[in-house]
Amino acid sequence: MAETIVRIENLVKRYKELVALDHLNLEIKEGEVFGLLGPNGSGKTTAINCLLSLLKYDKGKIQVFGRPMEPDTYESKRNIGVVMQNVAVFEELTVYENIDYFCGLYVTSKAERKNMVEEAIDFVGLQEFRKFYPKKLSGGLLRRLNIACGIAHRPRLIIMDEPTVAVDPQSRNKILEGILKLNSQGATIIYTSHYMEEVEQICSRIAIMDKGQVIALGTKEELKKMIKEGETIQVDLMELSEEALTEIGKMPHVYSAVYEDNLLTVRCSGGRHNVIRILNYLQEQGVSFGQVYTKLPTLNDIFLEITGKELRD
Amino acid sequence: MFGHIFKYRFKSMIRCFDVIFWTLAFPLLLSLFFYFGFGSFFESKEQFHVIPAAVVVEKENPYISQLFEELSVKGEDQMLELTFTDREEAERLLSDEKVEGIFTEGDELGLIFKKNGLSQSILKAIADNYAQVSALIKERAVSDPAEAAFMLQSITEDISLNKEITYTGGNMDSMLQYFYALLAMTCLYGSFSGLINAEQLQANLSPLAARKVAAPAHRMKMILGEFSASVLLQTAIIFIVILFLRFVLGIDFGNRFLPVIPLAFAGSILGVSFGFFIGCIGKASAQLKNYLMIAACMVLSFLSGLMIGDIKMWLERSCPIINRLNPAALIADAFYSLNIYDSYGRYLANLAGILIYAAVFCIGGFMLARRKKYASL
Repeated sequence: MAETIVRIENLVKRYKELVALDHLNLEIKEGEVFGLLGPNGSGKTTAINCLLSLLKYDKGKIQVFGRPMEPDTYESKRNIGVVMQNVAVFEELTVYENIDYFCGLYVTSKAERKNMVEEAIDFVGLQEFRKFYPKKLSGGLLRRLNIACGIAHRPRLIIMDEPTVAVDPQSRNKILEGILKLNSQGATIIYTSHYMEEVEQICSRIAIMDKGQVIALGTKEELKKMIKEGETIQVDLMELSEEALTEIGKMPHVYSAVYEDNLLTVRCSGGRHNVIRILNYLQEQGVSFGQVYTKLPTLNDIFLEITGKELRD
Repeated sequence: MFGHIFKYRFKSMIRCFDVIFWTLAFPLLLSLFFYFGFGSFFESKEQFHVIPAAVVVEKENPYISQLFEELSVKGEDQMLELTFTDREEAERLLSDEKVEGIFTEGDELGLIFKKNGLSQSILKAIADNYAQVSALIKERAVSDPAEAAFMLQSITEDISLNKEITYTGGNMDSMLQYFYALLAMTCLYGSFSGLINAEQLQANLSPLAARKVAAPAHRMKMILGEFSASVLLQTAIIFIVILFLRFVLGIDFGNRFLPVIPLAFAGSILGVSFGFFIGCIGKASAQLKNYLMIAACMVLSFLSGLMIGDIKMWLERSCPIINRLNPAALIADAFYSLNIYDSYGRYLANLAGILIYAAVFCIGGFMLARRKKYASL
């Protein structure tokens, strides 16, 4: 069984009246790409800052690599890579110098560091930009530099706090591919985001946060099983009688059927052949239909069902 | 680790436009402004030793003629530029300020001048000295002509001493006050790099600082590494400014170079620690702190005589405590004392004051910056 790398127990963090973290509990195993998903203000970054021992907290325990995490737990810190939400680099240092600076805070051997820096530059694809100053880099390249500064020392645990904010799709894909590559090389990743697609794409386990609490935790599949909605079917129809709509609503696995603006929306709680059954019925009734869409539940649907609000609200 | 932090802090500071502009380019530009602004002063300073005077010969006096001859010999020691003319023309020259005074040559040496000043004081000293020894000269001229000649020469030498007032090779020009104040301002502007250090060391002030605090670098090593790099850079900048003033603009600060090293170093520590201390206080925005710091530096520099050279003298008479407490005044006065005084007492007292300030700011800043965890980011 994989070793627990991070253990957070009953973590409480208050900003005066506001409870930013409300008895947060998390356990992250070695080798995971662990996603922390939640809307802005849900407590993801606060949790990360407490984990990194940057923030004081009111209550709770944090252990990293089996040791309590404190500001001067240098042995643990040496094995952690951090990619902050905001790009944190020196404007006056080149790409190479920035990476070397941060790597040098973890690795003292100059020769060893040289290889690490070169590898990090290759990894994020900044070979052509090594002598560039950050202000000459585009937003995407800057984010890649930010990542290189966080991973150059080959950490066992990499914490990435919304590393793709304001990044173009091409750079975003590169970053996500890179994260999976780092994971395949043995690094455990904690990835926070409010982009559910990203989290779905790369995370092996996901915690959905809201109001400082974990409201759902599991693999993507486990999370989707938590909600009754298994599939949403939408059909373009010119017209549909009330009677037909009631009949569709009574079909097996269907828990809601709505006809609005020439669009029939049927929500099913799982089961198979739902689309065929509905289309057959419509044909039998002589109802002509246009395009048919089916949609599997997303993390947003899960969030919506649990909290009653959209993830991006 | 210390060397690594030091190296990159030095590199980043030396490439930081704000730091280099305010700590190096601005003082150099200001010194040029002073230099050209006081251009007429520097030109007249060259002629300072040669005082233009008119001579009206009412009656030939060989001793006075010999004295004039000695004092107006062309060369390094020339003291007087004499115009022999009639009284009417001499008075016109005096009223037109073409000459500083009028000597009348007769049985006695007379002197007429219209205003008071250093030149007039020297002319008066010549006339007074001659008056004191003239009787003796006349007496000895008969018995011992060689002794009479020697006595005449002694008048010239006495007057020469009036020119060389300092024992340090420096000069007393009041305009130098502006340059001392400029050097003090340069030291205080080290606070720019101190402020940047503070911003980039406290996780609640910048993402870069948060990133650094998350790294396994010992807090004190980080603070000291960055602080030392800033102090070294600031010391180098002060020397560049001094060398520029001395060798490019030709400002004479005397010949004591060695004591300038600890003074520049202490001034740099004071400047950097001042900025660091301000940067560490509270969570106000970096921009606000920047404005506060610039305002503080300008007020302190103003009080040390940067804009009005006489203000320091005025404060010395009316409220001397301000000069004792103003760090810029301490630095300016330390440069002044080195240039003027033979003894090191005043210089050392100023240096001690600077170091006390630096120690207070350093301790305060380090105490505030040593925090490792923050209530909010």
